Amino acid sequence: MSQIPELPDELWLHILEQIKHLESLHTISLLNQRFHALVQEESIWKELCYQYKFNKEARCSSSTSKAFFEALFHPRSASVCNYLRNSDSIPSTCIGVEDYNWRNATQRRECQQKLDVRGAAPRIMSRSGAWAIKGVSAALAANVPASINATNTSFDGRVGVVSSGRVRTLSVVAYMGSHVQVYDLSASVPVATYAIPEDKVRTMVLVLSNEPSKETAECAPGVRGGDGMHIEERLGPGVFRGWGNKQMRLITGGEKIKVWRLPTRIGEKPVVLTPTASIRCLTLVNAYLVSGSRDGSVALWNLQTNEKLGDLEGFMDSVMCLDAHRTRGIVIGGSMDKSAKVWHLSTGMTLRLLGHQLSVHRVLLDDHRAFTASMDSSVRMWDVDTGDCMCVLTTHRTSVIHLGIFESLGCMRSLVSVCFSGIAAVHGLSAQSKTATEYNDEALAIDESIYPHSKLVANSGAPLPKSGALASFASDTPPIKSSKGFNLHLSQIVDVASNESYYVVGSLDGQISVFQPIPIPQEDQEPMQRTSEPNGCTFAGPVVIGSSTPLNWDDSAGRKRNSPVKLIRTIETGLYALFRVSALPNGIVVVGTKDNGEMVLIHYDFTPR
Amino acid sequence: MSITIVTSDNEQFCVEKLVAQRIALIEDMVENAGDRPIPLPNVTASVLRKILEYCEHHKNDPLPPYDDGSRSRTTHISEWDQKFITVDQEMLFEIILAANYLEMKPLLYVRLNVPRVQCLTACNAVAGDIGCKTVANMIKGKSPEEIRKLFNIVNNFTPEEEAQIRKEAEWAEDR
Repeated sequence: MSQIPELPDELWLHILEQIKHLESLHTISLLNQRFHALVQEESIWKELCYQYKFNKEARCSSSTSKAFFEALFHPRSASVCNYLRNSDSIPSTCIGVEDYNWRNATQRRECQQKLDVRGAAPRIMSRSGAWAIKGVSAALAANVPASINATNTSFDGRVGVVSSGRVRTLSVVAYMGSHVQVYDLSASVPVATYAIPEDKVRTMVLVLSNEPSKETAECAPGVRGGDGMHIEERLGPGVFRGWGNKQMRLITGGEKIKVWRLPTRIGEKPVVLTPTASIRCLTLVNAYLVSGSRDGSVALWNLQTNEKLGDLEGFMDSVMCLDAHRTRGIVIGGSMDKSAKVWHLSTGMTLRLLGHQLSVHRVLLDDHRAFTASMDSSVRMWDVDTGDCMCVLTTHRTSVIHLGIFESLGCMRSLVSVCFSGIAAVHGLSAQSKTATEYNDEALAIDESIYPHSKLVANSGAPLPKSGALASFASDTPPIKSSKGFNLHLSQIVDVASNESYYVVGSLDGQISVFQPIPIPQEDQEPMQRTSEPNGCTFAGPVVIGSSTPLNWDDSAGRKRNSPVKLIRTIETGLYALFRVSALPNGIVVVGTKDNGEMVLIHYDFTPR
Repeated sequence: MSITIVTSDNEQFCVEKLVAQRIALIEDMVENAGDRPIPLPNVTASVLRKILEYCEHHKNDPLPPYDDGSRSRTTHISEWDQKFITVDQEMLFEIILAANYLEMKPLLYVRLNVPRVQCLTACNAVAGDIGCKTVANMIKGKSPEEIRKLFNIVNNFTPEEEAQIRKEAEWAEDR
């Protein structure tokens, strides 16, 4: 019995929560100073409160709760009081003592005052228990542009959040393994929790309320389903008008597709659509939902009637990714079977994109071009209309896991790809040229040996006012070889988020740094579309937010480049680690983190002082 | 399809994917690792073997549901689990530590039901776990001295402090 491993407090706490017996807890508090302190923890008392039925269903009538009640107001039971005061689940009436009511009100006032403090004071919105927060995303209702503002916040799916007028002004959706929660930031409580029992949420899409009906009308729904039936025949003209005008819908994909109305009434069940196999990816095209399944099938669903319209020509193996051009009715999908497909919904044409040696991880549509990223470490560019492979980019040496297109002022559009080992490559794209110019800036290369963690963020909303959209990615520090600056974060950078005016970086060291774009002076701007420079184009757009700031490096032509961002704020959260960050337009950052062993969402105000 | 896991003492385990998916940490790593073996620097082979035994037995169980309804808070441990956890104390603690590290919710935490309102405000359903429950059961009904002996806990209270705590904690006596 000599070699008993030492358990951390967190685990002892879990053990003590199991005891639920006053006398035993008393005994434990007598063990030593550490256990004495542990027994005071609120979570243990919460368990006791349940044990003694201090909840809505059972008012304090039983004799056990009477004993407990007496214990409650003993000076030593401050933990219980704390718990009860902070908990809305136990109405004061069930305790039946005016004293408690009074304390409750005072406590509440104190809380409210605390919450009104501006600055970087954290607010814990939710303790979500044992489930990992897989993604966090947020949006302000009032400022939401008409286009959907979706970012790839996690490896396994797309989380986009936009809220409508009937949801509160501010909401955020977190997506945590088997359930999804919608929060109202102003009240700091979840507006809704969607439990998806025994169904792991792999992906989700948010359907906006204020769909631009003009655009959708342009694409005549001449979709040919797999059964050969014209969808046009089922949907009358003007079917898009009025659809979803009053609400927002959240669609989650797991074993089943579930369509939730936001906000949801209590007890309201989602509409369940049953695909042929578990869902791997979802995307929207007009009012249709396209789903990709594990068995390789790609189905088209009508979101107005919640019916399956038909199957698109599918794959031989699991569908890994989908992307769609909403207005032109083009859908692209990539699969484990090494192929990608383009479906032209308006004509019913299907194009097979063959060439990759391994499974296709990411697909991206860019007007008349499509990009596919594969495990075979190449990125291919395709002509969407003919299905021809226009070029193969072989910059990377490991699987390419992210793709993004960024447009910055004063330079051409560029494609950024990130591979498994954390290297990002930037390729200039010209509107006319049939090939992509490869631009592999050393400054964007990360030491391959460190962490295979990377993240791409695109400012998918309105383009930045002056400096253009930025691409940024996070990985281990230090990403920039030539930088002589200091390391910003002590530990790995885990997430990067952006909104219209800021970039927010979260690190495992518990710090959040906030960057602001610097407008590029007119004379510094590169001429538009310098397409055919032999050693790649120069650009001012994509930057690395990773270690030091301001970021300066020498570009391939030996000129000094300045980072178009500056650090404006560092928030010391005091937390052990941050896992996800998401930025809101009004200067609030939402953070998914672990606090005392529980996943929590916290938000900070990072407006510059 | 199987996954290779390497423990801290450099033993390799070939694990069926379905089994490995019960372990959140591995599942996360598999997505990123491709075909490479997955290193688990904090887990020894003997503990991993035990944990995989658990996963193997429970591989077809549904994941613990997120529920918002009735609340059943039994400290019941199923017969198989009971047998599984009948190990020496060192192993028991190692399993608890490893399960925590591996984020094995079913082994560590059995989600408890919480009233709906509670779900919305706190979502704080912490749990009874097989290992933790077992330790909790070991503690119940023992005297402080017995518990100290059991878990090698050193009493660092002064006699005055101890007397004070005993007095303060009189409320805890169950009536």
